[in-house]
Amino acid sequence: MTSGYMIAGYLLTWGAMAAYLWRLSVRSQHTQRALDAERATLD
Amino acid sequence: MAKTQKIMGFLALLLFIIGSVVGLFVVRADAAMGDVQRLMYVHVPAAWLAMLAFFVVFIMSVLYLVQRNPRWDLIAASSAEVGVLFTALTLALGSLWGKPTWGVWWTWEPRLTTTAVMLMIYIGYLAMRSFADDPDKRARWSAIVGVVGFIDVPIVYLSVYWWRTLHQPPSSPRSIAPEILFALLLNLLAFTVVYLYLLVRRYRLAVNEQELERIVAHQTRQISHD
Amino acid sequence: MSSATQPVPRSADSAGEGGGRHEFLRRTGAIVWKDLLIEVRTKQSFTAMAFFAALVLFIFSFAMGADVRLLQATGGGLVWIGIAFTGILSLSRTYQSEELAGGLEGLRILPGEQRAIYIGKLLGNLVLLLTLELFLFPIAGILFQLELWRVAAPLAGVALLGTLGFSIIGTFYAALAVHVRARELMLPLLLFPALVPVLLGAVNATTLILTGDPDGVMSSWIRLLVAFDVIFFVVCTWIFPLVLEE
Repeated sequence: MTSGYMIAGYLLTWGAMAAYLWRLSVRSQHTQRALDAERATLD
Repeated sequence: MAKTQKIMGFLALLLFIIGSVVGLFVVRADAAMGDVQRLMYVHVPAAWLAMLAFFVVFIMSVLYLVQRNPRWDLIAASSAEVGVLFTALTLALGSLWGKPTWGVWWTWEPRLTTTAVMLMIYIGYLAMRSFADDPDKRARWSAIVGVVGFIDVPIVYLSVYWWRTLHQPPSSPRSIAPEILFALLLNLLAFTVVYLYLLVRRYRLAVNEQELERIVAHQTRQISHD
Repeated sequence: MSSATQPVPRSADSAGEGGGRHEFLRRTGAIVWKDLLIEVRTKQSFTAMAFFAALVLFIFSFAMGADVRLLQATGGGLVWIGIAFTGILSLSRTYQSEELAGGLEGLRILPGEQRAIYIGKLLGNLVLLLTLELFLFPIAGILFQLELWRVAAPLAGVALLGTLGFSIIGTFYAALAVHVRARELMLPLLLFPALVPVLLGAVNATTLILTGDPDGVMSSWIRLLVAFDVIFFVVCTWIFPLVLEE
């Protein structure tokens, strides 16, 4: 049973990093698109 | 720049995988505590990196207050966000380690309690930023929170340490076996590279977001002038 | 810039830092006096706060139940939570008169004078809270069955140190919170984590005073409170002009 906690912990660690990275990617794309759109209207 | 970032990302991933493999399979399980002890290889590095992240927030906040370069502020904010991630992870892993070891999900152990307070201080930092609209003021105020908050952390630690140990004898530290130390240091290296990678990516996002904010604000001013 | 009421009386010679320490003390005193006067004239807010504090303690005793030993053991802690919650109310109004007069930034004054404002506000909050505690502690004594009279002197000392810590960091964060949206949320969010050492020190010292100190650990808590007060008084006073910067 103790191994269950260990597995949960490592999965959580991996999951948290992956989730944060994924969220960063989504926000980056979103911001980049908005930036491109704004810059297009400026020109 | 993007290429360096990609290399860094791959390096981080590689080290992270190696660290977990070593921690989970290569090192022997602890004689007394069993497999649960392997959680130390992620819990301890997460805690150290949380501390490092907030130290970076402190340094960048001081630098910003002195030089007023927005770059320092954006690095501080990025480090705070990544730091909150590591801090929350530290607490969760601490709980997962604590339940099978002591039977409780939470104890008022000094370092754990201080970590919880740290989490609250830096969530306050991020909340402060989200409620401030002017970029210069936002930078200045959050820098102040970053400085004062960091100064508070060692005092919090001292107070909680006294709170928990004044009547109880401190637990004697066990000596660490070399291979455990190796796995720990390896994961510490992995976590550090991961932190740096996340920091760089978050910082670049912050730069873009601020640029976007600046353009939108500029256009809004132009519209209101017409 | 609206030239509404100047909260700090300007001396004829206001070029340069004017008169050094004496001037500084005079300005600090002027602010404290002005705020206290406002407080005395609008007495209803003090009464309301005292009532609120009593109410909080009352609700605590409901939550804790009728077990006298439990109440006596936890009473020292509960009274400080009551002080903290009530204190937040008074803190959030610290800069109200300046805001009504056109905002904190409207005071285009020197850093030294800005620090005088901070210290003045701090002392104002301190006095207000200490006065509230004159009511709070006896009420807590009644509700939680605490014997306060024979330990009144050390209790007063701890109350002073703890309330001072609260006022130092609370007045500082109140100035920050005033500038952002959702300030009623931001002030407790910023303040309570930072207050942990003060709360621990004050609660433990109070409980030790009330229930006895077999291991002689009281001095540690006093040292903690004093250290906190000194460190943050220096830091907050020093940084305060940065908060008010235009």
